[in-house]
Amino acid sequence: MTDSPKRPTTPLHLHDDTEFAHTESLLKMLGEQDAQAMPEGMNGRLLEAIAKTIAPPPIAIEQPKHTEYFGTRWSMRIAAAAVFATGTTLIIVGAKPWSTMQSPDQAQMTLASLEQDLDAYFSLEEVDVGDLNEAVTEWELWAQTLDSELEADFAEYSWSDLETGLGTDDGEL
Amino acid sequence: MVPALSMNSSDPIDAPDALSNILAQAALGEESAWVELVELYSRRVFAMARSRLHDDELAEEITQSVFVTLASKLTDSSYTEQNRFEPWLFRITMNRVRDYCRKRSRHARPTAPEVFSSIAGKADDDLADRSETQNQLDQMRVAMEQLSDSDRQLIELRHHGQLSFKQIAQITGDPIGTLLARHHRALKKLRNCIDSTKGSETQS
Repeated sequence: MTDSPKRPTTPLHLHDDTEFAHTESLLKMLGEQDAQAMPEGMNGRLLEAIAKTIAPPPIAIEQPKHTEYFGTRWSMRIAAAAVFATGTTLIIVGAKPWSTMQSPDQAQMTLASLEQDLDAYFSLEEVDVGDLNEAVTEWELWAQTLDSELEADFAEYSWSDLETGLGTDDGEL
Repeated sequence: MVPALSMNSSDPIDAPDALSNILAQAALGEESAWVELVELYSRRVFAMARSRLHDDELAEEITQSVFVTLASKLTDSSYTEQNRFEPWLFRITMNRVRDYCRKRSRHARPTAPEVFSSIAGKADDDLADRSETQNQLDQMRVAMEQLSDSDRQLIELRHHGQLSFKQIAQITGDPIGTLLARHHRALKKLRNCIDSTKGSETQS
């Protein structure tokens, strides 16, 4: 049953030992029983696994690296855009430009007040040119005085004189 | 091409040249050579794994792992065990089974008592329906669990792996005489265990 030992060893004459023949036959049957329990189709699955192992590696295509490169580049772009957007937002928030901005109502109020200011200015100008008014008034008074003096002078002449052109003075002259 | 082998599949291959030729073709990725190797050795590797694990699926998983290792070692030329293919193959199997058993024991999954009771329970329950031979095989399976790890490994390599003592010596590194003596003692333990089981059944 076993490798035959070349040198006889009395207690190890296993191939002639009938003492354990039954035990050994049971062990052999046990081994066969375990082997027969092999699931159906196992050899096919083994061959598939072996084929996957010994299959040549797929041709290395640069596309994965390329994809990775593009992926990295896009990531960089997105990160840069995010940083830019965040920075811009912070700058805007820090500057608070809305605090100096005027609403349309405020602008209208400012315009109305400007008109009032202009009116006031011109009214003030009128007030300031009081000298001119006084001058005008004086001129009018002077004109009225002159008119009254002229009327008094012309009252000594008759209308006929005035029509003929002869007056008393003319005759005396 | 691989020469057609006239031997019965799964029987140990005796012609070293034929096996070397198959291995050479398999290393080149020849599909027919792999079919030959699988047919020659899958049953024996599976039987050895199943004997220890008592689980068909796990045994298939171990077998697949062994053959995948075999394929990768043969094809990347890292196989250097010239004329020692079978010891090398069954050393891989033995290591895989041992690694799995260690992993299982590390995860604190109690095995031995349950295995004993389940196998013995089966033997008791179906005693009437089973043949006498099957009953003896069940008793043998229980008796195998009583052996030390090294003795059980020796028995499994010999009777499930169908290796010669010379090949087992190449795996374990022990002298053949030591292996023969251990084998003899293991058989004696098994017989005593079966006899004691028979005695207890007779008394009951």
